[in-house]
Amino acid sequence: MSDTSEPILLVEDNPSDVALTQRALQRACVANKLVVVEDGQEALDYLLGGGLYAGRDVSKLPALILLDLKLPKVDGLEVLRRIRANKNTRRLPVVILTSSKEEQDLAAGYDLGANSYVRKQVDFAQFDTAIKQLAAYWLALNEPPPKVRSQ
Amino acid sequence: MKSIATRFFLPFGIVAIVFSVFIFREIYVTSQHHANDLVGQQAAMAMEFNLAVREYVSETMHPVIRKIVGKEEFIPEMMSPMFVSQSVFEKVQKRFPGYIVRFISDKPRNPANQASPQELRVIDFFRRNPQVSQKTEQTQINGQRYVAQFKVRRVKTECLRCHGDPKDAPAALVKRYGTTAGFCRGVGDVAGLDTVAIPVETVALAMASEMGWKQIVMGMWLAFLFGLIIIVFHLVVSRRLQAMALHIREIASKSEITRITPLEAQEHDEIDVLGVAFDKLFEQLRVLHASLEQRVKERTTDLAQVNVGLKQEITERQRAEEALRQSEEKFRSIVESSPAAMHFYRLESEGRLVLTGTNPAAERIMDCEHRGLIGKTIEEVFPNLRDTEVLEIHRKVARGELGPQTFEMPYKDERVFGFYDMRVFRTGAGIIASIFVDITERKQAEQELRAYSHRLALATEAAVMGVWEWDVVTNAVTWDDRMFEMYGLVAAEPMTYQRWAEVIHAEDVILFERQLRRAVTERKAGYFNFRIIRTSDGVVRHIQAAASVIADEKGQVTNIVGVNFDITARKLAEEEIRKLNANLEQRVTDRTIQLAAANRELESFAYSVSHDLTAPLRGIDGWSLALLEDYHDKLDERARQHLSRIRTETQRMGQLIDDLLKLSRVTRAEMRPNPMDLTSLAENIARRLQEDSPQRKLEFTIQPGLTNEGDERLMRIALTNLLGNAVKFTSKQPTAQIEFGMTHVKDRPAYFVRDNGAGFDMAFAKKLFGAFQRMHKASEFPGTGIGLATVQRIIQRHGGRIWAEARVNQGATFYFTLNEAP
Repeated sequence: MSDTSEPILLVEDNPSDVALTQRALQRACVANKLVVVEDGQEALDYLLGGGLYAGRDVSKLPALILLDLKLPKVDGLEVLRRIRANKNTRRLPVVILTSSKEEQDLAAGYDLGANSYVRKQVDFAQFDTAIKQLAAYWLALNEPPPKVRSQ
Repeated sequence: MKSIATRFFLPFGIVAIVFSVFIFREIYVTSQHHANDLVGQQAAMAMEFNLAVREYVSETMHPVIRKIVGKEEFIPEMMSPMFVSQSVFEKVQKRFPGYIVRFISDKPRNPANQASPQELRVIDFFRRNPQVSQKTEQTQINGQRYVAQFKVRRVKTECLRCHGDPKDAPAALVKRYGTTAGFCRGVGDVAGLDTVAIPVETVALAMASEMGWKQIVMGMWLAFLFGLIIIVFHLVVSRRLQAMALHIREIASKSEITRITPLEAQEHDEIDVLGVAFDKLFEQLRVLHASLEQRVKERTTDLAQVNVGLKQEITERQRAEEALRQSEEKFRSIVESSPAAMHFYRLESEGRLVLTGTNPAAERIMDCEHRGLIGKTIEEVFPNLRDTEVLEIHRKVARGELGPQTFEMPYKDERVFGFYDMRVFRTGAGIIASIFVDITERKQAEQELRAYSHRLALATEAAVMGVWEWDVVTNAVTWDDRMFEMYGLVAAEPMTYQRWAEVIHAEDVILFERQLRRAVTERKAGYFNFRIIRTSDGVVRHIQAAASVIADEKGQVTNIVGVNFDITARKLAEEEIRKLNANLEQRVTDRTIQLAAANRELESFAYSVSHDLTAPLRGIDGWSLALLEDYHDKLDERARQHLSRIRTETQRMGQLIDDLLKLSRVTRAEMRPNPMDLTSLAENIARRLQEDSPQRKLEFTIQPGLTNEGDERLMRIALTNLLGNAVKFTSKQPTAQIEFGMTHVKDRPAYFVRDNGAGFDMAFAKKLFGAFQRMHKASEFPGTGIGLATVQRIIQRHGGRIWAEARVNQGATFYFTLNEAP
C-alpha cells in the first residue's frame, strides 16, 4: 500500500475531465492529494524539477500518474518515453487514461512501458467505476515500486 | 642337389645314434640291477646278524642271568632279546645313518615299537599267508628309496613264559610293563616283524657316477670314428666327383668347342677310368656335330636361292592381278555410284542399238528394274523415242559419224515423265555410252522463280514497300521504282551507295552505315529505323528497313537485299501515344499522392474524433449526472427526466462515434491474409455470446471443417457482428436457433448465418448494408446501424459479396462469399 502523502499526478488538459476525475476520486474516498498539470511539458517540469517547478524536491514522486495522450506541447507518449528514460522516474506506475481506442495508441503505449491502459468512457457511471477501481488497485492492492536511490 | 655324402651319412648316422642309445640304456639298467642286488645282500646280512644277536640273548644270556637273579627278577638290559639287539644296532646306526633295523608289533610291550600303517599292512600279509616267513620290497621312507626286508616272528612255546599268562611271568616284568602289554599270546601267533631297511640312493648314486664317465668316453670314441669316416669319404670319392662335374659344366657352357682338355689321371681307380671314357665320348660327339653343321649350312643356302626366285614370281603376279582388280573396281564403283543414269549400247546389224549395261541411277530415274531390259533395243527401252532425232544422233555417234553429243530433251511414257540432260559418246568400235540426268526439278524451279518474281513485284507495289539491293563487292545499289518514289528521287539517274547516304538524315547516317557494315561482318541482318529528308519537298520521313544477307559458298557476304517502309504516320501516332501515356502516368502519380494525403487526413480525422469528440460528450454526461446527484432535491421530476434523456442521448452519440471509428478502422486496416479456421472462429464467438447473455437460451449449429484464406482479425469482427445480430434479433424467441455453415447458391459456394428471429421486410433489403440504416425501432432492438456496413466492408475486402434473405418474423439468412474469382 502506498503512502497517502504521495500525490496522484493527473496530466489532463480538459478542465471538465479534470473536474470529473476529481469528483470520481473524491467519491472513491482517495486520501492522496491530486496534482493536476495541463500539458506534457508541465508534467515533465513537475517530475524533473524544471520550468514552473524549478527547485521542487524531485525525490518526492507521485504514487501514480494518470496520463492523457492528446496533450498540448508535448504529447502523452513522449512524456511516457521520457519518464521511462529518466533514472529517477523510470519505475513510476503510469496509467494511460484516454478516450482513444486506436490500435496504434495501445501498441505505442505498451511498447513505451505503460503499466495500464484505461479508456475514458462517455458514460460517466462507467468512468466513475473505472477511476474507483484504478485507485483501489494502484493505491491499495499493488505494492509500489522501490524508490530509485539517488547517488 | 643331394650329394652322395649326404645320402650315405644320413642313414649311417641315424643307425649309429640309435645303436649308441640302446647300448647306453643297457649299461644303465644293468648298473641299477647291480645296485639293487648289493643293497639286498646288505639287508640280508643285517637281518641275519640281528637274528643271531637275539637268539644269543634268549637262548644263552637269559637262562644264565635268571639262575643268578631268580625267576621273579627281570633285567631287560641282559634278559630281553629285543632290548639287547636294539641297543647293538643303535651303535651301528651311528656309523651308517639312514640304515634301519628294528622290531615292530601291532601290540608291542614297548610303545616305541608300535607298527606304522605300512608295516601293519605287511603284518596283515603274513597273517593271511602263514607259510611265508620273509618278504623283500622296495619302499619309500621319508621320501627316500629303500630296500626293506621283513621277517615274521611267530610265538613259540618258550616265548609263553614272558608273553603268555601274566601270572607265569617274572614279577619284575609285570611290575615294569603292567599286565596287559605283550601278554596273552598263543603259539603260532604273529608277534611282530623284524625289519631291515637299507637306503638305495647312496649306492645308486655311486653307480650312476661310474656309468657317466663310461658313457662320455664311449661317446667321444664314436664321434671320432664317425668324423674319420666322413673325411676319408670326402677325400677319396666326393671331392673328385665334384671336380669332374665342374669340368664338364665348363665345357658345356663354352659356345665353340675346339678341344677337350682331359683330366689328368691320378689314382687310376674306377672314378678316373670313368673320366677318361667320358672325355673320349665327348671328342667323338664334337667331330660328329661339326660335320652335321656343315651339311645343314649347305642345304640352307640352296633353299634360300630357290625361295627368292619363287617370291619374285608371286609378287609380280599379285601386283598385276591387284592392278586389274582395282581398275575394274574403280570403273564399277564410278558407274554404280554415279548420280547420272548410264546406258551402254552396242551397234548391231541393221542399225539396231542393243542395251548391254546400265547402273542403279538409271533404274532410279526410269523407276524400273533393268535386268529384263538388257539385250533389248533402244526403241524397246524408250518406246516413245521411236523415229525421233534423238535415236538418229545415237546411231551417228555409234558409227563415228558424230563426236560426243549433249542435249536436253523432254520424255514421257507410261513410267517416266520429265526433262533429261543427255550426253552420248563413243567408247569403242560400235559401242556407246548414253548418260542422262533428271533435270525436271530444275526446270520446275526456274518456272516457279519466274512466277515468284512476278508475285513479289505485285506485293511490294501493293504494300508501298521499296525493294533495294546492295552489291557489297562492286558497291552498286539497285532500287525499284517504289524506292525512288519514297525518297522523292528521279529514277533516271543510276543509284549508288553514296547517293543513298546523302539523302539520309545527318543524325542517322552513322547508324545507317553501322547497320549495313554489321550485316556484312556478322553475316546477319535484321530491322533498323532511320530518317531521311525527302528530296522532292525536304520533309523528314521515318523509314523502317529490313535487310537480309546473301553470302557466297565461302560464307563471304556478297549482297544485301532488303525493303524500306515509310513509317512516318506510325511514328507520329506512337509519339502521340507516348505523350498521352506520360501524361496519364503523371496523373496516376498525382492521384496516388492525393489519395495517400486523403488517407492520412482520414487517419488524423479518426484519431481526432477518437480523442476529442468524446471528451465533451463525457462532460455532458458527467455533469448531467452531477446535477442529478448534487441537486436531486432541488430538481423536480420533469427536470430529472430531461437530464436522464440528455444522458441517454449523449451515450448514444458516444456509441455512434465508436461504431463509426470501427467502420473506418476496418476500411483503413492493412490486410494480412493467412489460412483461417472459420469453424473454430465461429465456435469461439458463439461461446463468448452465450457468456454475455447467460439468461438467453441459444442453440448454435456450426458446420465443422470450414476453412478459407483471409485476415482473421477482420473476419472475427465480421462474424461477431453477424452472429451478434442473430442473437440480438432472436431475443423475442424462447429458443434462439442460430446456424453457421456453407451451402451452394446458384451453384457457387456461399457461407451463411441463419436465425429464427425477427427477420425483416425484403423491400428494404437494399438499404441493409448502408451506414446508419436500421430495420427496427431502437426501442425494440438497440443499435447504431453500422454493424452490417462494417461486415460488408470486410467481406468486400476479402473479394466476396454479402446479401440477405428474410421475411418478417420468420428469421433471416445472411449469405457471404470469400475470395471469389473476379
